[in-house]
Amino acid sequence: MDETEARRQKRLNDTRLDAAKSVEERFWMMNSLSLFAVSVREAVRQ
Amino acid sequence: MTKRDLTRLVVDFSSSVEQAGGRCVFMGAVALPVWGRPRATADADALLLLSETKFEAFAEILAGIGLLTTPADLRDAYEERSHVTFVDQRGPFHVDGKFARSPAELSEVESAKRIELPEGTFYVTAVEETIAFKLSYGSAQDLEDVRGILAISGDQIDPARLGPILADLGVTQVYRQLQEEIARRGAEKVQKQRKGGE
Repeated sequence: MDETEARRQKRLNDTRLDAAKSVEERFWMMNSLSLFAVSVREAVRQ
Repeated sequence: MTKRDLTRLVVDFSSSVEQAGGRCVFMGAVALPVWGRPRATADADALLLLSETKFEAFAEILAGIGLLTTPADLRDAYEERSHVTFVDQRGPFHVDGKFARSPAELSEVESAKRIELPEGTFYVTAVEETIAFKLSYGSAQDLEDVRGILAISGDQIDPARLGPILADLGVTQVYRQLQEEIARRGAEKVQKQRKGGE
């Protein structure tokens, strides 16, 4: 499988998994992403 | 039971790979808060370095912490050089894994940056590889990510390291164009500010 096909299949799979999520879950994920980004920036700064 | 958040997923997955005798390096949206501007994602992209003989043990370790895959899926991804999805039964994020096999991918694993959080440690791709691979994927989002990396971590880039990686992936010209575009925008901004001050 070439890289383009592998990436296309990955995107399809990600879309399928993402479509199953509720609005509440998406908000929870955004919050989780923000907390992750903040703690990583903090770790890098130290 | 509390849902597993992204931090916990990244740390748990990394320690599982190490427990199986391998190494794991996160790329994409997980590496962005380190080098550039964070963005939304539902998946954590990981490059894996793991012997085929460890696939059974690895799948078992992951099952123990609620991450689903099978040795057959791991073997397929390894042989076809494709991706394998690790679905998290304890949270909404998932890990997309790819085995490091090409010289460029092996170098990505070798030069990864270690990140230490209170929850545990994990690795992300070095800034040079993060830029070069994003340029080679080339979507509008990837180019935007690289603009953010240049703005935030431009002073941490080692040009002597970056040059050969860009050349290997055939994206030297794209990188130059992006640098020129950023320099042009910067000059236009300065000009506008001067005009505004007059």
